[in-house]
Amino acid sequence: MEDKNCERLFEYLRDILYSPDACPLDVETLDPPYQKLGKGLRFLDKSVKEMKEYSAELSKGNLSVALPGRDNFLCQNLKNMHTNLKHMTWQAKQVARGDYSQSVSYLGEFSDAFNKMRSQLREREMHLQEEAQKEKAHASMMEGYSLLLMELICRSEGQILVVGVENGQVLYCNTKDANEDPKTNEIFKLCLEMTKTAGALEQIQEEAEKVWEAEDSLHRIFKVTTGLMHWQGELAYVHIIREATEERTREKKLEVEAYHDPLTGIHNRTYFEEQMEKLLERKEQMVFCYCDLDHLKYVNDRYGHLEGDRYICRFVETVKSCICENDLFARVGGDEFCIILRKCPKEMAERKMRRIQREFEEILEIPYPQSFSCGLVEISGKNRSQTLNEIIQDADRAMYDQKRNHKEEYEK
Amino acid sequence: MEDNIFMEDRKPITFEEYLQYNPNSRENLGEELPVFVYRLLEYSIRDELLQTLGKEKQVEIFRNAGRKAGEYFAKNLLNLDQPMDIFIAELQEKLKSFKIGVLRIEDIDEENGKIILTVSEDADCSGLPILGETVCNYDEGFIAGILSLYSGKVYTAIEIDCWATGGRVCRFCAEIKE
Repeated sequence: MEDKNCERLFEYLRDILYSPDACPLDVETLDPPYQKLGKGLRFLDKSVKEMKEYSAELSKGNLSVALPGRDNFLCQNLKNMHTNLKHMTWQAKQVARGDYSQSVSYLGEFSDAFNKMRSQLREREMHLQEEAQKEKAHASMMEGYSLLLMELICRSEGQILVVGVENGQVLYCNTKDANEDPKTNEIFKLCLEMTKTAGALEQIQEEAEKVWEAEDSLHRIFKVTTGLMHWQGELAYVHIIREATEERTREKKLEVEAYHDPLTGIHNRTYFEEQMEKLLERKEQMVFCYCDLDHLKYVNDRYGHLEGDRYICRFVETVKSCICENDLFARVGGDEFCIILRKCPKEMAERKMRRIQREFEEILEIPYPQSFSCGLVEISGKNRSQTLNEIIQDADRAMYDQKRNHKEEYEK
Repeated sequence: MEDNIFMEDRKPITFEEYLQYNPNSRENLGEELPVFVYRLLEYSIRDELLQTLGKEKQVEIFRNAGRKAGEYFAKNLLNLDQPMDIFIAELQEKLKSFKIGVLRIEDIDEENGKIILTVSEDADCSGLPILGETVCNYDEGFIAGILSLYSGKVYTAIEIDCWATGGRVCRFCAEIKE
């Protein structure tokens, strides 16, 4: 009987260790002296099964598994490990959400590794935050520059056209009309042609720009500044186009004012001297005629300056009607005028001047005699060596001889 | 002997006054005491209360005393004006430096404020034999007092596992009292 009971209990103990699916021991089948031991093995069986199930769940990472009963002491260390795993999970979650204030204590190598990882992550995050701050500041600065640039572009009356050097494609265009195709804009077309024309923009370097002008079919003048730059990684020509029609008109007006006599509309002394220098440079054959309107002071004093002006204008109209288009005629003083009769022999010039004098003197219905005196100097082409001043002096002398005669005649 | 006239109008001594001692007064022996002495005090009082007032009252007194201690601890030794994460980190550090125990958080439910935490190497119970019941009622009150003062809501803490029930750590479930 003893052997039988011992054998059953031994086999049950084997099942507990090696055959967990075996049926539990029926304690009632044991003889009474062995039933207490049987109950103890039943408790052990239950505790081992619970420990195996619990450890199996933990090994799969199931931290939500129900805790074993308090009286199962086989699970003590597993529960402790379960606690530590849950704590480490919570710590990892904290780190994941950016909480670097936690630390792990007394968990051996894991504590060291975790705390080191946490401090490194904190350092990296701080470094990244610093970098992000720098980048943010940089981006903010660039945005400011960009806004400033866009504001300047918007305020600029000029248009900007960026064309790729390699392919001639329009890379950017700030045309005011968003629907306008840059290819249909006349000036843009000119710029594109210029870009494509071999050699037209060759001399342009990144530091040096080319300024050129173009005119459209409406006779508007455009000033184009073309430069070379890198546009989004591509070498490109930048054309900054500004309408300069008004500027040119103003320049022409200033030129007229600078070179013309406002009363008579003929050229003034400045223009005359500049042209004379050029003519003398070219050693042209011509006759220089120095004219002085007679008794202008008397007309001004007697009939007023308005009449004096009319006297001057009649003289100018008379001369203009008698000289050629290529001749030069300028007012060089109040009552002094110069005429250059180009490619004209002196005799012909003298005849022409006498005719002009006659025509001027014959104008009727003037309450005062009108005449002018003149002195002629022939400038004989290649052999001449006189300066402009010397020529003027010679002509002035000749003019005064005639003026004396006119005065004497008038006084008679 | 005549009565001490100076003590006649003295107000009852408060809990806080008892703790305003000079920490350098034990110049040779220092501040620290063995765990044994701590437990000698704790369990002798516990036993006396149990014998005199019964178990239920003893547990209640221990929890209340622990809550009072926890509130004092939080008020005087912790920064209550900081985010939860940093507060927990500071609490862990303080409990460690005072050798009360190693606090570890298992889970915090931010929606309802429920916190599962463990204290290992707990001063009250670590190494106790299996007694079949939890014994850290003072710790329950201590934890509840700290969390209540920090959150401004009344917390209760219940010990789920204990050395005395066969665990290797004390596990507490702290919840906001409805």
